[in-house]
Amino acid sequence: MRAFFVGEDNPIGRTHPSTRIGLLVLACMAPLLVNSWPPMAALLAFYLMAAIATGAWRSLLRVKSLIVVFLVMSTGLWTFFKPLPGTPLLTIGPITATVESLLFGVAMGMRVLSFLALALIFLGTTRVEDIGYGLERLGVPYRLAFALSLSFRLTPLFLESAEQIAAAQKVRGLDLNEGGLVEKARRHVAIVVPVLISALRRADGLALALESKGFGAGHKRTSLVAHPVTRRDGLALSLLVTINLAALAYRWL
Amino acid sequence: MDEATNLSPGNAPAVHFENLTFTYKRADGPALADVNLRIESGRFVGLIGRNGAGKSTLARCVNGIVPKFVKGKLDGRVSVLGRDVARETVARMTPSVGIVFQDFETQIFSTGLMREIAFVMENLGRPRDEMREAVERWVDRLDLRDLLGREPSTLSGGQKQRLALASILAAEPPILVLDEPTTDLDPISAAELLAALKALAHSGRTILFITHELDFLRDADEIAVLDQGRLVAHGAADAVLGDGPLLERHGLVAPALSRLAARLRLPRAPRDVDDAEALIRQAGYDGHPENLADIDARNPPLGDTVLSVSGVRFGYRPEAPVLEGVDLSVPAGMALAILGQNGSGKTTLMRNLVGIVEPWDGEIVVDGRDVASMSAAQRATRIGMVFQNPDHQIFCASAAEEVAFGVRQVGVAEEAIDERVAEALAFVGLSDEADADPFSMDKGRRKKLALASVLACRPKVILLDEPTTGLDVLEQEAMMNLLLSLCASGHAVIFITHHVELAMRYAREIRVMHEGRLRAIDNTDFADGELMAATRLTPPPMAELSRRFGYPTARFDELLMLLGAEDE
Amino acid sequence: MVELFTMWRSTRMVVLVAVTAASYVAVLVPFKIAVILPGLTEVRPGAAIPILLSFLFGPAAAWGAAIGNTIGDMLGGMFGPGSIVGFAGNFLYGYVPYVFWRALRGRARPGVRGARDWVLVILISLISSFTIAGVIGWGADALGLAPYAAIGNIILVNNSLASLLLAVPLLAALYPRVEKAGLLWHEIMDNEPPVEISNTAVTAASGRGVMMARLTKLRADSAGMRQLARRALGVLLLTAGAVAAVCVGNALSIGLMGVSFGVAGFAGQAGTATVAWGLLPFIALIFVGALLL
Repeated sequence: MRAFFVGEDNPIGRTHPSTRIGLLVLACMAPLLVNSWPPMAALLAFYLMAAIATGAWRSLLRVKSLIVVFLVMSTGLWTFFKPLPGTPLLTIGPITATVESLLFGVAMGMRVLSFLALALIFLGTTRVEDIGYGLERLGVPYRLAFALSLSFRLTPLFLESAEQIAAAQKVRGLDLNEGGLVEKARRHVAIVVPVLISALRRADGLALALESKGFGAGHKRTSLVAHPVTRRDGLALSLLVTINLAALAYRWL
Repeated sequence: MDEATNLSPGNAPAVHFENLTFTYKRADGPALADVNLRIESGRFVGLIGRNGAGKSTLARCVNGIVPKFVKGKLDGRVSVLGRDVARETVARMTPSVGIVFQDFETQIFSTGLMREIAFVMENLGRPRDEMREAVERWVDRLDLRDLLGREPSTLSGGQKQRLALASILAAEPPILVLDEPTTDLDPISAAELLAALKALAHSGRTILFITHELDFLRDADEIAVLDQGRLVAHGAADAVLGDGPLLERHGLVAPALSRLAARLRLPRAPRDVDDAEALIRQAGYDGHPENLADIDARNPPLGDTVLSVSGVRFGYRPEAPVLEGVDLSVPAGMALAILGQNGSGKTTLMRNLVGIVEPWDGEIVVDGRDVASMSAAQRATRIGMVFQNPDHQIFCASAAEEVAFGVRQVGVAEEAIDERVAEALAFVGLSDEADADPFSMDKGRRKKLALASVLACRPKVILLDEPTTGLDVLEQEAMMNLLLSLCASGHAVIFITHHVELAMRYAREIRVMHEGRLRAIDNTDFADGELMAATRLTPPPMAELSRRFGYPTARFDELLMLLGAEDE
Repeated sequence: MVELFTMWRSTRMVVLVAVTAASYVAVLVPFKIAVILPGLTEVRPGAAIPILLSFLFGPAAAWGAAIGNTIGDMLGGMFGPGSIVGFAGNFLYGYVPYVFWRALRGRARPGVRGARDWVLVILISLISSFTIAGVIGWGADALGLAPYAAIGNIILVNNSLASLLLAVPLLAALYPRVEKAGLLWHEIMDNEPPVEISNTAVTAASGRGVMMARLTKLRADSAGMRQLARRALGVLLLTAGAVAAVCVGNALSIGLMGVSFGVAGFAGQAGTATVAWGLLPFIALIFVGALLL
């Protein structure tokens, strides 16, 4: 998770965490409102600009192979599964793909790419505690918001311990790639059980520490970090509302 | 209400255990048995005892987490500042009691140091300005200022431990309970922590300090000793630490300098190495360097080279090499210790040696074969590695199955497996527990089981990453003696440790990982201030003392022999 | 289903939500047992985690699976409106096993009746896999993210295979240990004290307590019977909904590809609307069943 965090010192990182959650939702809505390639390309271009402005483009570059897979997969799937009438392009078995269905597929691919960019911008500018804080201010109960941000925290730690466990078992001679389906599954038990048992030991220690640190003490919680709401928040939200309205207008006009 | 009354209302003791007996749910016997202990406000109290003596359980009774959160049957009474803990919730005790748990890694969950430190205060609803001030104060006191930009999970063990301490100390509760808070601290940080705690005690706060390192308790006001859940001694620190037989009876070992004073019949226990040197010279010990030959003769003979490493370079990212040309040659029968700062690449080297990762350049030859050319199973019969955390490899339902797993993977015939398993379990002393579920074993046993499961494949070279963490003094000794007997039977043993004294006592040779290379050191290098500063090593008292008399040993018994002490 | 909300009072359950989420991702991402269609259909041991942890941690596994899936989406670049559907689908995936087990076997330890228990565990895992496939397949199609026939079947195959292969051995290895550690969900929730109840509330409650206790005793038997019946109905409805959603979803989705197949009243509608509306009653059935459990 920290791998994606690039910093809060940028136009999006300086907004209130609740605003950032609102921005994320609004920004995800716009691509759903349009389904042809020209407006989708415009939206994607705008989001990519935001990625550059925040520095999140570096994370995008890191997952470039994933981007290619998504574009190809999404474009391909829709091209063949949603046959639109028009100029025939290619026929495989009972399915005929048309130029129109290909363009629709491209639009869908760009939609998926927009979501990817938005997720990386959000994670890149928002600390996991602030995701919790933002949700809490939007009315999500504190304990649920805390569980969410704790999940974000534990994920990289558990990934690391899974990697170490796999290495430890490999040193004992375990080969995960040998044998048929059932045998391979059986071998994975040697990984999954230690992962979960280490997780359980950690969970118990953590619950103990949280309880002792006054988690849910019933006092009104305060916060070390102040998140003032400024004009910036209003501006950012209005910009995205406008974009959504424009998308609607394009769709119906 | 002024601060003094707040910290100590009336004349009530800070913590009072009365006839306290506690049995964990599903446990056979009680963890605490009829403990009566009264701790007055403003006292610095050490709590000692072997692993399993009940120290952590007692600590957890102070804020009621036992038995409210960790279930079991509790009889008797615990009161804190005159309040009956049984009538309070754990959360309501938070303002009065701060606990740093032994397993500090699990307690850290924030993305920033400041947020981690402020968490308790946020839960207590403290105003922001007050929190800011407290956070700043404790960031400086525990020397965390330079780390503020770091992600807590990337900190080293010692740094994490300081953070865990700051996160509890910053709220400055009147009662502080610290369960082994110095296990990962270097001696300098430990001294700083002790100074900060003493200052808190002077301001009226009460400190309950659990530790295995009795040296830290020299300045404590009083010490309580637990064994098998019972309070077996409680008195002034000097009296308890000076009572060697008492400590020994309860599985503890007095600080090395105190033991030395007793064996050499010095007039008093020395305060530090300088003092010890002066006292020993005054007592007229002139030394018997001719005994060196006897000491050397006790070492088992070395065999042929079984591991040879040359020019190994490796890193996880191309731009950041971790190993920059490691050379190492290890004969059969050798016990080699690798020291080095956290993050210096000790574990990374081991991962290269067993083939988890492949070096960029260089060659690793085990028992005449290149590591890269072998299958996982072939490697496992030549070189084995015991990981720091035993839970990273244990998964079977019984100890015997666990050991059999590795043996089966390397293709040993089914009828020979039982014999291998029995042999390995017997070697680590777990024969009686072959059918036990590893999940419910204590950490010392789990570590031994992990060792047994590697031994059963009969590798020539055995690597161990921090084989003694989490073990008490006697368990550490047992583990290290196991390793020495492996060497005697012709294995080469290489272990990573952050415990310099342990390395000096048990290893035949020592290497320090520094700037991506291994550097050999011995006792004389401890005088090299520059090297010590660069590698952040501190000589243990016994090694330093030996050096001053011109001896190459850090072992207590050998130093006695060289000084010419009479036999007991 | 009340426990989905009351569990938040317990700090341990809050932590177990995060543990489920994080271990779901940690096992799902790096490991795969077999690749059937590269990038699309892979048997990943991680897919068995929500099922396994549901038996152990109950409601915490439902929340945890949902949150873990969202995190996985963010890490894997799949985040978007589909994540809402994924949240719901994975929530049910982690919810079905423990509520079904509770309805059919109460608090019995899986395996005490031998093979019969393990067959039941496998059946429950399959129903759970049908549920997640139906819900996510329907949602993704309705949102225009991916066609039902692709996404629904991928999930169905992946999750069924993973849980068929792994749910039983993992449950057999872990259940006794978690039980011994006192971390089974019903034990945690029985034991832990509520967070903070004001003194007045306690006094008021204990005053009424005596009277209430008598009334509850009288009602207990009939309430127990009603609860049993309600849960049995839930099991039936949810199972029917999940199986039907998968079958009809495929029929409708493949129908679009030119094979003439239609459901009365829905045939003839163009595009994804067919699947979206056609499956709605079955998805509703799943949720009604879930509410009863």
